[in-house]
Amino acid sequence: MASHRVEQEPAWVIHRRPYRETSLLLDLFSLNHGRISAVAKGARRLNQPWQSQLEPFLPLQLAWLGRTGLKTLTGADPGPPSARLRGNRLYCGLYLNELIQRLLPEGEPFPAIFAGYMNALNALAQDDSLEIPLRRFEWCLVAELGYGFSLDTLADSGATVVAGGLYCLDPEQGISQLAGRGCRLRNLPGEDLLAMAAGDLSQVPVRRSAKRIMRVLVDHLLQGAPLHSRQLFQ
Amino acid sequence: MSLSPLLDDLVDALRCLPGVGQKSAQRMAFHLLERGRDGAGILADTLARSLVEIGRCDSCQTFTEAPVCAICRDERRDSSLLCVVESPADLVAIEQSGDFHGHYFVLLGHLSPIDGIGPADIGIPRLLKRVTDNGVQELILATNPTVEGEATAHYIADRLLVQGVSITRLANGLPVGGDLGGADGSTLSHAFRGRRPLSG
Ligand SMILES: [Zn+2]
Repeated sequence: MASHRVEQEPAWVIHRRPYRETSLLLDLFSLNHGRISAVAKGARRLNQPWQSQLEPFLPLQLAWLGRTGLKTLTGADPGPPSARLRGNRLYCGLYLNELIQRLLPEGEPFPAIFAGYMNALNALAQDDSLEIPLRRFEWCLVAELGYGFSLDTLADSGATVVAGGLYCLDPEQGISQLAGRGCRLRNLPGEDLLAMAAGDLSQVPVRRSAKRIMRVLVDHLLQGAPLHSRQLFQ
Repeated sequence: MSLSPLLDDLVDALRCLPGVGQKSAQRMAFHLLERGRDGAGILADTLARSLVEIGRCDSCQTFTEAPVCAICRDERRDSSLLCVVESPADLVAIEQSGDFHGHYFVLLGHLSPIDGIGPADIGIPRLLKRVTDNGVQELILATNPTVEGEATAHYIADRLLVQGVSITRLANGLPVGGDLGGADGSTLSHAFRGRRPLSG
């Protein structure tokens, strides 16, 4: 079988670990091939530029060989320069990476999540708010994985959410008036849901509701598996 | 068909070493049996004794067969300085650069959420206790210049900010993405002398 060659592919390193004596085993998130694993042979040799290039949170253009399973990295060029994550923002980045690693199936492209990830990293490096980029990325992930729902229309009645009302969340169904069997959150203020639907997370109470909702949704996607990066924020 | 199941087991066992694949494991096994039987005996013996006797220092977590290692017992060293490294190999590299006369704390790796490795897994609670109990004045965070090494340094610093301990990080210049153990002595000693307060 002819070997499959990919060139100039925008990608991020999600995780890396030492492999054999001088190599690195990489978990990558790429634009057109989604999450893949690749070996970077000799990357840990002294003076090999791959060692510093193949780090998380640096935009890359990668080339590799191989169709299925473990790929072999053949080229790595730095992408556009980007700001570094520091301190708490580094924990946020590790949280995003853990979500990608645990939730995206291997080898399937998710260009919208790729764009959402890039936006989240840029916002984390530059903006004041840590929470807003995290919530936007979580919502993008939930929606692209097929678990999205309307934040301003009720799943049970089709009625519109109103300010002043209190609502329930069932991660399988969406927002409802009445608490059904799958209800995981109650007393969600209607005005917060409307603000979230409009993409406006500028108010503190809205961010608080958004955090409660996204936590339930992310936990639902993880099916009870723990998320270790959460420990860093405690 | 296999000539000797035990030989196969030996080859498999040797493959647990880093960088040793099937071919080199087989070469090593044949060498030990053909020409190196005395050496093999010493190896087997030392390995078995090491596994039984070498543990972790109660104070700094490095490898030692004593309850407390020789560095931690050395009273000429400055106990107000504590240098945090990721591995015993990093400790050895710093010792060889000869610039540091304080004490160490060896983390058992670095924080790595994707691998499920959290603060308790690498001994951070023990480190924090040691810093508060032993009157450490300067804590040097010599974790590796990688994303995980930075996150680990920040996590430790975050928990000690209120305690009035001066917290420093090695100067830039170490190969990014690498480990301290792989840096050459002069780079390391330069990074050590140029250490600066950790910024948020
Ligand atoms: Zn010790």
